Amino acid sequence: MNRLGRLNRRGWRALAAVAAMASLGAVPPALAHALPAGLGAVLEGAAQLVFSPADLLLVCGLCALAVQNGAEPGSRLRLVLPAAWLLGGALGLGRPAELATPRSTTLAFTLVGLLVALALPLGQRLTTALAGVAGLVGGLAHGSALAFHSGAPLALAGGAAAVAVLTTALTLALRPPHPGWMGVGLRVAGSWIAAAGLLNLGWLLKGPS
Amino acid sequence: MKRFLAPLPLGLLLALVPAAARAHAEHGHGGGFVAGLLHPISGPDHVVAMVAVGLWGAVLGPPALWVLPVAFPLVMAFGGLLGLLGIPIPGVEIAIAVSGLVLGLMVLFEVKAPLWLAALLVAAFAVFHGHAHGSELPAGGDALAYSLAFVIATGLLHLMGILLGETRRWPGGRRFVQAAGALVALVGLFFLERALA
Repeated sequence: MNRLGRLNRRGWRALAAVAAMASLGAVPPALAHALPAGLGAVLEGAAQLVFSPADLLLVCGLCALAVQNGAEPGSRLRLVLPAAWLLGGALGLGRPAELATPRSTTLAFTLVGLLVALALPLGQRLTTALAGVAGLVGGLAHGSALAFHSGAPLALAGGAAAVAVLTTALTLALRPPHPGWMGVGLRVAGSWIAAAGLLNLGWLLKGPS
Repeated sequence: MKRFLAPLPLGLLLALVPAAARAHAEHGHGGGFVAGLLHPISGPDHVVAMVAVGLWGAVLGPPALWVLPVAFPLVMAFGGLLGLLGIPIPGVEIAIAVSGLVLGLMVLFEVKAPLWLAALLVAAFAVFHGHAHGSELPAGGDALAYSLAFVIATGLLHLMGILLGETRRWPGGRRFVQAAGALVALVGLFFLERALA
């Protein structure tokens, strides 16, 4: 801090020039199957989550499942889900698009929605383990879709960051203890997620016609 | 903190609504969120049955009040899955009309069925409703957004029924709910006559 404070105007200009050059060097490469919004790989990876209803439903469902089972699983989810997402994504990056099937993600969020609708007391360990497995599945699909794109690691990091932000916000907003209506609302939301998943599964099994 | 984050789920839900350009919307093809939202309200026989589920839930009180709206979409989606896969179920149109008639009569006569029986009855009807929707769902488009909107619209119809049913707490509300049940039963009867004709 003291050194920075001692920099004169010329020093600051030099620092700004170096930063500008570095940012030019960090221009994100084009991602063929990501959102070409010109935001850069990290932000486009983050935006991918928002614009992918299947991933969004999976994360929302896992948050609902965690807070249904107490405050502790919610806290653990904030760490486990982004980490599992990142790990799954890293594994998926090494694979071609074969893992990027919508069926796996649809199955995952359908199952999670069903568990939320049934409001079964799963306990901390099982909830965390489920979150880990579901995060791996979601991350695998995400990473696999990005495989062989040069900016994929950055996009994946952006996606995991978005998962972390969404998970934190939702688990804090829905933190137990719940009023009665919120418990019912979570179950209804779970049934909607599961129902949408079942219908989507039917559509996927039916195939394009 | 919690108060500020409370509207977040609603915001996330709204984020699912795609702001797609609709200059050349193709009719007859599966659209996105909006098309799915409109599909369940396109048939009056479906609408009255969905509302009747909520009405009957309100008549039965908790826990049926929320068990029925939780069970219905799940079983309906299972029926939809069968319909999408082309697995036939006989007498779908008749069963849908009968559902309106029976649920309307339940509300009209304020039948206090046990929870398991009410859930079983509603779930059985839900299979037929889901199958009819599944068979009619158009191809193409954003299937997941469509499915989600479709389920949300169905849930909102249940909610409408629950809110109407909650007017029983007010003076004259009981008669109003019974009248609503009678109307549902009449609509069901009308569609039953058409289905059998």
